[in-house]
Amino acid sequence: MTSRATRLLRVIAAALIALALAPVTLVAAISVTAAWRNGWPPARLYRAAAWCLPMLAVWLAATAVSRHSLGPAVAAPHLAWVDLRRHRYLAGATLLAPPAVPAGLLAGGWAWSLRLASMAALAGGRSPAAAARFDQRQWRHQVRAAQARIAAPGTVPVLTATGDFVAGAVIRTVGHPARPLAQLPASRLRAHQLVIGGTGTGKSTLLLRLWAAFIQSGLQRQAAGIAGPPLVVILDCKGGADARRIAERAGGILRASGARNVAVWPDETVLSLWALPARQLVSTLVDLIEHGSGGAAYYTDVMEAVVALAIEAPAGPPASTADFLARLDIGWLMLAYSAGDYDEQLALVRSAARQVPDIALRFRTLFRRLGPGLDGPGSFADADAWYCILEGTSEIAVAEAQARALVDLLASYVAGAPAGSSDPRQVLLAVDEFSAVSRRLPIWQLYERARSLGLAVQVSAQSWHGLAVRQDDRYRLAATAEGGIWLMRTPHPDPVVALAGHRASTDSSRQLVGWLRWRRHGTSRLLQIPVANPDLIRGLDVGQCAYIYRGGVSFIQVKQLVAGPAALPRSTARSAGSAARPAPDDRAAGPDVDPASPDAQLLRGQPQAPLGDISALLDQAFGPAPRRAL
Amino acid sequence: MTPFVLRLKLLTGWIGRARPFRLVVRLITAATASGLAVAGIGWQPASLAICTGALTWFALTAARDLGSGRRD
Repeated sequence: MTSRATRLLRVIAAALIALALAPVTLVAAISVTAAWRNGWPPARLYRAAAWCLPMLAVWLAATAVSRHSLGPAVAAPHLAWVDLRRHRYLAGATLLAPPAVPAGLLAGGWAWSLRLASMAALAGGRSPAAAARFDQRQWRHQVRAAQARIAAPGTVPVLTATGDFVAGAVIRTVGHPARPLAQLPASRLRAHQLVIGGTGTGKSTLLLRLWAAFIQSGLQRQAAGIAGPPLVVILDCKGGADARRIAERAGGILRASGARNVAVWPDETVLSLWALPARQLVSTLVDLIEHGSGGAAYYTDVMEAVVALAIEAPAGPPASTADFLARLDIGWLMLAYSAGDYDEQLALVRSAARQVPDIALRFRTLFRRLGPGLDGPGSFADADAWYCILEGTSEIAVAEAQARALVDLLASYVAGAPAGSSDPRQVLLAVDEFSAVSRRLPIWQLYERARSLGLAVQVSAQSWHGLAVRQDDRYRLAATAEGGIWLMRTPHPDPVVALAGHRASTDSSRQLVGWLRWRRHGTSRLLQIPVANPDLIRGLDVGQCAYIYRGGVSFIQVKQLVAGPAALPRSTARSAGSAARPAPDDRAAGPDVDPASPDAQLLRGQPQAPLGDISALLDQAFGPAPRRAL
Repeated sequence: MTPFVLRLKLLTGWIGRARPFRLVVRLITAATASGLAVAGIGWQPASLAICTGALTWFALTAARDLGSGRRD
């Protein structure tokens, strides 16, 4: 018998079996069509078959109880056939449904998995381009299904009941579990993360969701006594009106997520650079000034020596910018070190006497450009969330200096937690539009230090090249992102995709012998292809992202957060003479103040209950008030 | 207010916040399937099984139209 005849016999046999099991075939065909239409994986059909078990159990149990035998269940196809011959279609269908539905779903799942496998191996389809078109069509179906899943309000909470973070609906996964919703353990939020995406790709939407989740998860951990209160510090390095609009939106969302107060720096509140420890202050101040290398290193050394003399003077470190600038004067320095045994310092002052006016000039210029944002009485302890706006688009040098100062302040704040403290604050530093300050903010150094401090760093940039100036630093950032990499649409995803690794795939070749006719001979070979398809990432739509973690990728349709009404009043405006601080929370009110007391309410800026009428007491003490003539 | 009334209010709140129309369509579909099965062969094991299947399907799929108590 020729192979052609064998094939024909097989086809006839398969058709006969399909006809004999027509109800099962019908259910299988419907389920495969539904899977194709919605981009489901075969596992979805298998799960549906498993959920038919209660129906099957009831059918068998009821049969056994009512007929004292399972014989009628076995005879159901015959009884249904009899009903169908008598044109009682409804009765026939009802008798057949309990066994046919689960069997059809199983058969459909198996057929769908075969179809997917043949298309993935490029061995299926009638036309040569069938596999590529099939994949593109499936992607569209999967996107549509994911968008439908997150359309209903309230169906995608930021955190699940078990505390997992939900980013949105899963479009497609490779190497990750294929769930309807993209759930990540909340611990990933407390690890370093990287977000890359161009303008208008939905990056801000994703970041807002991540920040809200960090606050909510942090509050849950605080309530459970596992950790201290959460703190989110956002550095928006782009600046401008857009940053203020996002700050407004972020404030609403973070408050709705449980942050008791959100401070916007420097528009509404200020921080104090002078709160840094003296030694750290010297290093930070020197780093704020751009300095060169080579011959210019000499001047840097002189500057550092002069700044150290001004900061570490016997009178103590300066308390404000004006105080510091006043110290950059040869007369002040000589006077400060004249009393006591400071011969070495005096010698230094004398040798640097010619450079001191130049150094003073540079710092005067720097602080004039920086503005008053770092000269106030505030501290990161004053709020649960800080949105810091740096004007990185209009004034790059200023933004770089501000970013450097803020990061040093935060590191100092985190490192300054009381030793042995049982509940240190959970801190997330999010640097948005990092490219604006990446030249002078070696954030990967902070990555290394942050691990021991319990500080999570989240860096976002518009592109791979915006992550750092040097390629080594970019790879260092990406390789240490233990919480995963979020990749939105970007024209150059290849370096990040390479970090995700490769997977084995089958590449089959067939011989075309005529129009849409293939010979049954061909070859297959194993190929290593990227886990994350870079072309898919280049074509991602707004609000879609690829989450790369541990050699797998999940393509996600991110659910947009909607800001609710503000839970607490915003920070008060700046008062005359001194910079306003954000509304202090219960902690800031001090341990002796009852949170429910009028004092605490006053500190929080909440309206107080009306005071009691004490006119009788006053009348008794001072006599009755004179009556006014009407 | 009794716990039962509170839970009822919570449930109606969820329904109101999510997709009540789709929920009603699901309910009608499940009821129709069960009704047709009973109409076809009366109260027999197969019709009981179909009622169970319809109920299971409704319970599993209605959750996505109910929303949840949390904000998203």
